Amino acid sequence: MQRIKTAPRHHWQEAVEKIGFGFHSLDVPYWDESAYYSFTMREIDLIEKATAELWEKCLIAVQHVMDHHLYAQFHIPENIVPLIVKSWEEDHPSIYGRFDFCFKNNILKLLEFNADTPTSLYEAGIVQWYWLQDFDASKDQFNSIHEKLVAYWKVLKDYLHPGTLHFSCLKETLEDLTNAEYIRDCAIQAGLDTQLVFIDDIGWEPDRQIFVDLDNKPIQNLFKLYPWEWLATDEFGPNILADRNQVKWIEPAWKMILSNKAILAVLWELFPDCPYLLPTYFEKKNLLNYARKPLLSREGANIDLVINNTTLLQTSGEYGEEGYIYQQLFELPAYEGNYPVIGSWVIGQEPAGIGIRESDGLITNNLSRFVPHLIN
Amino acid sequence: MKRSKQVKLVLITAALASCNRNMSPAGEDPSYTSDPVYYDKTMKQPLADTAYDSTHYLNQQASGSPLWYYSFNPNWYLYYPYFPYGYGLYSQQALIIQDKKNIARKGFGFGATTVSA
Repeated sequence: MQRIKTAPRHHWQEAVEKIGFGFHSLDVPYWDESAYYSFTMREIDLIEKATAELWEKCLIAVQHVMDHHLYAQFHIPENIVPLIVKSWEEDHPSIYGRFDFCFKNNILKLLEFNADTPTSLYEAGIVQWYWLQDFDASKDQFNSIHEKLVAYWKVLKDYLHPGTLHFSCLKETLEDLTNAEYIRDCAIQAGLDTQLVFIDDIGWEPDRQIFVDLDNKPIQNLFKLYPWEWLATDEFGPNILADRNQVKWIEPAWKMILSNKAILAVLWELFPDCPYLLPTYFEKKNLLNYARKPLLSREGANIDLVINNTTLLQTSGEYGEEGYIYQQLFELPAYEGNYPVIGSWVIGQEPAGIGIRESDGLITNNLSRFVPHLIN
Repeated sequence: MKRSKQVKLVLITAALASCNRNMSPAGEDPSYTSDPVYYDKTMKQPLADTAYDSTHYLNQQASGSPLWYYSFNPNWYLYYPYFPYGYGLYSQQALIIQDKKNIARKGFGFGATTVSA
C-alpha cells in the first residue's frame, strides 16, 4: 500500500456536489483527493479474503454469545434480549457492515467492526468511483458496493413484510441523510417501494400499538441509520417489543452483538489462531501495549492508547460507563504524518469494497479525511 | 476485476445534489406534507370535507399509495386489511380515521445529533 500525492481535480467541489456529496468540507476538509492510496491486487485479495473470513467468524460468534447468554458482558439490557433472539432465530436480514483494519507491513489486523450504523458508504461506493473515472478510468478499484447493494435489496424483498420499506435517520445531519438516501436509492433500483421518515418523526399509535410515519401510515419495515443501543433506551424503546406489526428492522436487533466492541474479545477467545485478530480481553491481563476502548464508543471517543503501561494518547467523550475491552496495540502506519484505516465493506454477506479514512494521529475520529484509492 | 461496472443514481442526484455544504438539509422531504385534518372520536358522522370521502381513499389505494382505505357506510364501517383483529370487529372505533392528536412522536432520536461511525 502506497500513499501518492496528486493534484485535486479542477473544480473538484463542483464535481462531487454534482453527484449529491454535500458534506465534502466541514470545519476541516473531509473529502481529500490531494492524495490517493495505491494497492497491489495481492493486497486487495488479502483484504477481501480477511473480510469474508471475519464475517463468517462473526456469525459463529453471535451464536456463541446467545448460546452462553453473554449479554451482560455486552452491557445489553435483559429486556432487549428476546428481541435479539427473535431476530436471529427468524433470520431477520442484514444488508451491510464495515470492518476497520490496520494494514501494515503486509499484515492486516481488525481494529473494530461497525456492524449496525456504518457510514461513509456513499463516499466509498460512489464518490471515489467517480473520482477514479476522472483521474484514470483505466485503473481498477476495489468497489462493487453499488451493484451489491442493489442486488441484495432484491434478495431481501422476500424477507420483508409486504408494503413499504421506510428509511430513517436523524434530522439536521446531511452526512447521515446522504448515507440513508443512498441506500434508499439502491432499494428503489431493486424495485422496492420506499419512504423516508426521520427517526424523531416516527409516531407511536397507542390504540393500535403500531409505529406510523408522518402520514400515519403503518411502518412495517424500517431501515434505520440509528444505533440499536439508542433505540432500545429511547422513550419508544419498549414499544419495539409491543409493536403489533412486528416491524422488520434493518439492521436487525442481533447486530447489537456485533456492533459492540465486546465482540472483539469473544472473537479472540473463539479464534485465537486467526491471523486477522488482535489479542483482546475484558481485562488488561498481561498486555503492556494496548488500546482501551469503551464497548459502545463512536468516532474514536474515550479511547486510551497505552505503551509500556504508560498512557500515550487519550480521547475524551461520553462513553465508558458500559465497560471496556483491552486490545493489543497494533499502531497505524504513518505516511508522512497521515494514519490510514481501511474500512472494508461486507454487503449481502460478501466483501464489496473499501474506503480509507486518514487521520493526523493514531486514533481515527470525526475529523478524519476520506481519501480515495486505486489498484495498480 | 474489482471495479463497479455501472453506477446509476435515481434518488441521490435528484434529492441531494442541490444541497449546499450546510450540514442541515435545506428543508423537509416534500412528501412530508402532513394531513392537517384529524377525525375526532366524538364525531357522530363523517366530516363534510369532500377531500376525505371514500372515493378519495379508494383512489389512493388503487394507485398503490396507502395501505388502508375507508368506506363511509351508515355504520361508519372501516375496512383495514392489515388490522390484526380482522375485518369488521372495530367498526365503532372506525370513527377515528386519522386521530393525529393521539399519536406520540419524538420518542426516538432525542438528544442525538449524528450516528457517524
